[in-house]
Amino acid sequence: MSMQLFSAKSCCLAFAVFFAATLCLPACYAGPAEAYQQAITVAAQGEDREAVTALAMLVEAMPEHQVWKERMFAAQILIAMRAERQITFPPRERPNAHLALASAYAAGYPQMSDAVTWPAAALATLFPGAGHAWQGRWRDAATAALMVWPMLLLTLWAARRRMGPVTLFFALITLWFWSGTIFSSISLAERGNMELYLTWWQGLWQASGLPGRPWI
Amino acid sequence: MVAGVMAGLGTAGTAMDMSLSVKAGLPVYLLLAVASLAVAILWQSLMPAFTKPEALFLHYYRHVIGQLDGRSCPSYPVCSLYAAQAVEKHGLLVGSWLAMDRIIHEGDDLYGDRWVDYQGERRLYDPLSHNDFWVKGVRR
Repeated sequence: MSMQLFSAKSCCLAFAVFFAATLCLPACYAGPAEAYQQAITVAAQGEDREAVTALAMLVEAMPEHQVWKERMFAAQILIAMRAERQITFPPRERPNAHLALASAYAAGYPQMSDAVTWPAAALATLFPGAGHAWQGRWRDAATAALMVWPMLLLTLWAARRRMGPVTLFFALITLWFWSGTIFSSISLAERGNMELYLTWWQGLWQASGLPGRPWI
Repeated sequence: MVAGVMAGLGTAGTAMDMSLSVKAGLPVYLLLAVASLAVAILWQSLMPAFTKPEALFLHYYRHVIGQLDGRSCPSYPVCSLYAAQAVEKHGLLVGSWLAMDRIIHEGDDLYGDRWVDYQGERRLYDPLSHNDFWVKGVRR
């Protein structure tokens, strides 16, 4: 009786182990294409460093002279470049077809130099809304002006009437809004530069012939 | 004797006063007990809002005002959530500037091409990482 019970327990245990192993099987034996695609998806979500780490680990794990190893290595280099906003390729120990194609693209289409951000900041400081207008963002300029000018006029009105605490209250809000619009004009200039870089980098990626698209 | 009667009346009056004050105080006592129980049970969900004053306002806006006036922000994530993320990540001053920047640059971004479908709705894709990458200490 006890022998029968023992064997039943063993059977259950063996089945449970088999079932668990079967569940884990797809993850353990995901092919290189799936692993690569997962890393590209992570990069598309903006997590470049995680993607680079994953790709570096995959490159280590892959056998030599495998096409996926070459692809993973090239993707790792290109995504690392994007994360650091680099325009030059790191020195390579061995040839890589994808990186050679990307290098040829970079030689033919050099990245445009960044636009300076200080004029936008200076204009936004001198005249609220002008920093955005200078960047051709007229609706943004109107919003920024509408935020600052009424509060500025209220502050001046309160100051003229010598309304001490009220003047201070309005002045603090004006200071907050005005500094916010200066920050916003700098942010937009930085974003413009980044978008320019990303457009160039996407051309680089497409020229490399790598599968997948690590951006939304 | 008169003094004894007066003392007896005084004792009776005090007892009556006490009884009245207990009756009056009981609802307050019960209310406090129930409120304490609610805080003890809900503290985990209320903690983020109560530990930071700036988060309290955003919490109130997102869960009370926002629920009442409906969604008016066309972006993804919505402006209040974006502001909460910015304040959480960069503190009150820079976080508020980032929220202000979101409201300002939405004007021209609405005419751009960064629209995505989110749960069947057309939304302007504008996460925090698109705008704070240049702020010191932020790495992509």
